[in-house]
Amino acid sequence: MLSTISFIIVPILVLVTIILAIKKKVKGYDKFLLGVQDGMSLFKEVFPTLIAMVTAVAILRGSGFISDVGELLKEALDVNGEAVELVPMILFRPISGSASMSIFNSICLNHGPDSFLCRTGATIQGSTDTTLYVLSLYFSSIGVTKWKHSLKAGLIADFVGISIGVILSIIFFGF
Amino acid sequence: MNKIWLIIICFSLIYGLITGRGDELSNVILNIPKESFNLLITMITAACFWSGMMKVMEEVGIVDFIAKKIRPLFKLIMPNLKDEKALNYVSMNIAANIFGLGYAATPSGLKAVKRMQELNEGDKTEATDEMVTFLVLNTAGVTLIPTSVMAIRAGLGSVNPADMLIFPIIATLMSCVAGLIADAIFRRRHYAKHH
Repeated sequence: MLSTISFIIVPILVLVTIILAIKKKVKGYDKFLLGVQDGMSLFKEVFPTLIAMVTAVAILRGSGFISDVGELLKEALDVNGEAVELVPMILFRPISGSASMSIFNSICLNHGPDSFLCRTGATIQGSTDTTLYVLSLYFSSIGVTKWKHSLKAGLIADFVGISIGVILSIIFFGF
Repeated sequence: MNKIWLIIICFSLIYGLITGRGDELSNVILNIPKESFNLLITMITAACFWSGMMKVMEEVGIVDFIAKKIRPLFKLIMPNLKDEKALNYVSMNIAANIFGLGYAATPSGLKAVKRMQELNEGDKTEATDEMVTFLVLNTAGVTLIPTSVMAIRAGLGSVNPADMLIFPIIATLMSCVAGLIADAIFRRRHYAKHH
């Protein structure tokens, strides 16, 4: 039910917009073009930040540091061998959405979309957003360099969201 | 951010070289342009499309409608933000996030902080309280319906890709609450120190 709703929400949203535009005699096409132009100019300002983020995250991933930490945790926690696959995904979550999403994708591919790991991964993915990326993108777009306590608060939110996601999954899906 | 960026890169390079991953590192570095290209193309075109759509929605009154529905929530969270335009952008951003439309959320989010910066009468290089609260909420991910995650599971043939949906909803709400509480505590401490 919910999945049906979420899959049709986009076409419905577009349809309602277009119907209203016709009803209210709004020049939909012209406005659309104007909006696209707006979007372009917004991105001109964040372009350098994006390249800088890709650079840092790519090198971090290439260094193998995060997968090594995952291995270490695996030995330290001595948990069910498979569950440790989630660790790199969790560690990447606040830094890079695409990196953690691609780990999630391969977990679901290897274990099946209805496995414990894939469901837990889905819960974690949905529980929070890419803190470092969000902050650097938005702040750099307006030239703010002093972030105040936003990074700390954002990471606390990530930690709480991910922990609760993991706990709920363990309770309700079981190993 | 300067420090974070330099530390991540420097640390990663040294770590990778010590653990004998020189070839991987050089591959990764040479692939940065390609990776950036892929990300930028998807992101910019998606954001442009949604920015265009959003403009039409603004004209036909959908934006105002949604903004009015979510407004009471922001009166509670950001009592000092009274600017109509900024509130509209913030509402659109949160609404798009709720439905998991990350790319649609970005343009309105960028416009929201831009407007907040116009209203910022203090130091323009320092984030205002409203910016911090708004972005903390964004980093906590107000996504109630994680569309992309469900699309991946559906694509792999899941029986019911939304079976776990209630958990991310609970987790994301707790994450938002935790972020907002942390924000409030840090802010109070900040002002206690400076006044």
